[in-house]
Amino acid sequence: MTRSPIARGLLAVLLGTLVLGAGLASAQTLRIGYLAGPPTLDPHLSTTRATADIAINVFETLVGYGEDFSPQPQIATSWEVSPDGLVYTFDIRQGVTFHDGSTLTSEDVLASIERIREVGAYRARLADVTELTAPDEYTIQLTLSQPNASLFSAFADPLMAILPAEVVDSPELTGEQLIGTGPFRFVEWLPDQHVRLAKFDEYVQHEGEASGNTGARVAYVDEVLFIPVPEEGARAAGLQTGEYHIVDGVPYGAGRRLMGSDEVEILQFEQYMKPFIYINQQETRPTGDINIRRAIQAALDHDEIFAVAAEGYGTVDPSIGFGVWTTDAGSEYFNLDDQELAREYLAAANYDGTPIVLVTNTDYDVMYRSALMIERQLKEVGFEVEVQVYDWAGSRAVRDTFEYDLFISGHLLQVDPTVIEFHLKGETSPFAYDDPVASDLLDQGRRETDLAKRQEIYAELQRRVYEQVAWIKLFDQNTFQGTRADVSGYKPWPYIRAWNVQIAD
Amino acid sequence: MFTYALQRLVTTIPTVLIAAVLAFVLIRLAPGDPAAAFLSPEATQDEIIVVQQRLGLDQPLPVQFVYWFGNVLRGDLGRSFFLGRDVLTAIGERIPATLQLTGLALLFALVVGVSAGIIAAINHNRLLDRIVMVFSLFGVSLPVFWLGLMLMWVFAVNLRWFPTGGYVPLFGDLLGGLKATALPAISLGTLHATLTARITRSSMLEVMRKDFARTARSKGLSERKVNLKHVLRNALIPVVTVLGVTLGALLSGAVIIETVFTYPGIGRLVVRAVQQRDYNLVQGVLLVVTGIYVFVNLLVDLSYGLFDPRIRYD
Repeated sequence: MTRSPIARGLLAVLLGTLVLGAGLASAQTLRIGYLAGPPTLDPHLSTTRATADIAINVFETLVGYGEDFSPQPQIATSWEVSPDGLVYTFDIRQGVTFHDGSTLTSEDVLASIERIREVGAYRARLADVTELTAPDEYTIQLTLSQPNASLFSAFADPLMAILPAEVVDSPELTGEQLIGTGPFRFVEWLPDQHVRLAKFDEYVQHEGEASGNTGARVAYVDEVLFIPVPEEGARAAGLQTGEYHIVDGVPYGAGRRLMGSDEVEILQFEQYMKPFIYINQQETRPTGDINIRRAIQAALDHDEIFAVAAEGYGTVDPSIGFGVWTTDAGSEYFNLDDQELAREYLAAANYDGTPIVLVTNTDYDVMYRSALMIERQLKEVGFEVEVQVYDWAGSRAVRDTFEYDLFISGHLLQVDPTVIEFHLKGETSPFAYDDPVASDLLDQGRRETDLAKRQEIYAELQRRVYEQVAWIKLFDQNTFQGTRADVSGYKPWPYIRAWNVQIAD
Repeated sequence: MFTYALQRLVTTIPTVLIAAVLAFVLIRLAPGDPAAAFLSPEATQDEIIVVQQRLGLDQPLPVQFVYWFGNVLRGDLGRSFFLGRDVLTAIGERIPATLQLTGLALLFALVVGVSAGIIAAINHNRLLDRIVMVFSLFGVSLPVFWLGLMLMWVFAVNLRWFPTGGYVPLFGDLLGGLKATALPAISLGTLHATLTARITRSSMLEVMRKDFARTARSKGLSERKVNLKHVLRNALIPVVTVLGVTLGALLSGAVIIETVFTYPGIGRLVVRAVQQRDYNLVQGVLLVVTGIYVFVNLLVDLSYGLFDPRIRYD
C-alpha cells in the first residue's frame, strides 16, 4: 500500500466506482415498445389503452380481474351483496402502503370513488350508486338505486384507480401525485420519450396465484420503460436488435419473418380488435330502408374481408361479446355471401342508384383495408358506393354529423357487455339505432345478476340487432406481440403487465 | 448595416402575421375538433359541448383568433389541450432534440455536398464528375422515409452499428449522441447534400472561368490554390443563399424522420398534435418554425458582407 494520500484516495475512488458499477450493472430495466404515448397519466380522466397499460402497473383497484375477467380480490379482500342486490359491502385489505409511504384506509377508497363519480371519464358506470360510506377504517359500503350486474366489472377496470385521499382534489394528477399501491411506482414521464417506473420495494404481495392483474405479483425488474414507438417498422426493428424487450403491435409481415428467429418470440394476442360496420338507421338515408340493409348484410363475404384486412390472423364469427359472453345467436344473418339474395333485396327496395357513403380511416389499417373490400363486394351486387377516407379524428367528426351510410369502426376487447349500450340505445347511438325491444333487453341485461339468465338476454339481443341489421360485426382480429428470448413470464392480455416478468442475466 | 437589419426585421412582421393566420385556419379546416378527439368515443353531445366551451371553441372564429394572437404578442402561446402543458414549454422541451438533428443533418449536407461539388467541378466531365452526378440523382429521387428505413435496416438491424432510434443529447454524451443521431441525420441530410453538391459544382464551374481566376492562374498559383482559396469563397455565395431555404426544408423533413426513428423532436410533436386536433399546439409550432425560418434567412442575408466585400447595405 502506498503512503501517498493522493494515491490512496484515487484507489478508493477506483474501488468505489467498481462497486458502484457492479451494483448498477445488475440493475435491470425492462424496455417496452408500444404504439402510442398516453394523453394523460391521470387514470380517472383517461379512456385510452395507453394510459391503462401504465395504470395497471402503478395503481390498484377495488376489485381486480382474474385471467378470465372474473372479479377477484385486490384492494378489497372480500365482499357481500345484499339479497336485493342493492347494498354492497367491501372489506378493505389491511397493511397496504401507498408509494409515498402512507397507509391505505377506507377513507382513501371513498375519496377515490367520489372523484370518479364527479369527474371521472367512466363516471356513467357508477350512475346507479346513491350512497357511499365508510363504516370503519377497513370497510366500504355502497347502495344502488337498482341492481347492477356490471358493478364489479366497473370497479375492476384498471383506470378506476384507488388514490390517496390527499390528491383527489387535483384537477389532473401529474408527477408526484401519481401515487398508487401497485408493484411499480411512477418515476417520470417525458412525453414522446418514455414513462419510467421503478420497483416499489414495500409492495406486499397478495395471496393466491397470479391471475389477470390479481394474486401474487412480483416486480423482478428494477425499472420499466414504456417507450412510444409509433412507426411499426421501427418497433419490429427494435425488437430484432434487442432495444426493446417487449413490443406490442408487431406488424404481420415482420412477425412472420421473426417467427423463425431464435432471439425473438412472437406471441398472438387473440381478439385484440373487432371491426364493425355501423349502419345509419335514419329514414332520410338509403340505409334507413330495411331492404337496403339486408342487401348489404347478404352481399358481404366476411372470409374474404378477413383474409385481406387481418391476413388470416383471428377468427370469423358473429359473437359481439367474448369469453363468457360468446354466443352465435343470429348467425343465420352473418357472413351470408349470397349475391343473389342481395340483389333480391335491392330489387325489393327499388334501389335507385343513390351512392352509399362508406366512411373509413387510415389510422387503423384493418379498418381501411376492410372498407376497400366492402366497397368491391357491394358494387358487385349493384350498389353505387362512395368511399370517404379520413384520419381517425376526422372520421369521428363525420360520424357525429350523421352524414354517412356505413361507418367502419372497431371495438377493442371490452370485458363487460353493458359497454354496447352506448351504441344500441336511442339516446346515444352513433348510428341512430333506436329499437324498443333492444333497449328493453339492454336494461334487463344491466340488472340481471344471474349469469345464465344474463347470457340468454345478450344472446337474444345479438339476434335482434343482426335481424334488424343495426350493425355488422366483421371478424375478430389478433395482433402480434413480441418478446426477446431472454424474457420470461410475459403473457399477452388486454393490458401490458410488467410484473412477474424476468430478464435472464 | 444596422438600418438594413432593422428594415429587414420590419418586413418579417407581415410574414409572421400571415403565418399565424394560415396556421389558425388550416388546422380548423380538418373535420373534427379537440373536444371529440379528447373525449372517449362514447362521449355524449352534452359532454362535447361542455369541453368545447371550456376550450373556447364555441366562440366565433375571428374572436378565437384575436384572443389567441393577442396572447401570442404577450409571449403566451396558450396551453396544449393534450399535454397539459404550456405550448411554449412543450416546444422548448423538444427544440434541443430537433436542433441537434437538423444541425447534424445540415453539417452532413454541407460537408458532403460542398466536398462532392468541388470534386465534381475540378474533375469536370471526367469520371469523378459523372460518379458524383449519378449519386446526386439518387439522392434527389429517394423518398426520405424509405431512405431512413433502409439505413435502419442495414446499419441498425443488420450491422448493429447504430440504434434504431431514440434521442441522446450530444452535450451529455458526445459519442452516444452521435451514434443515436447519425442515421436520422444522414437520412434527413442526403437530399440537401445532393442539392448542395450540384449548386457548388455549377457555381464553381462558373467562377473558375472568371477573369480573376485566370489572373490568379497566370500569376503562377497552383490549380489547387486557385480553386480552394480564390474560387471557392465566391462560389459558396449561392450555397449560403440556399442555406436558409435548406434549413426550412430540413425542419419539415424532420417530421417524417422523427416518426421513423422514434426521435422526440418538434416533428413528432406536431404530427401528434394534428392527429389530436390540438389547435394551440399546432398553431404554436407553426408559428415558432416560421419564426426560426425567417430569422435564419435574415442572418443569411446579413452574412453576405462577410463573403463579398462588394455588398454594401446602405
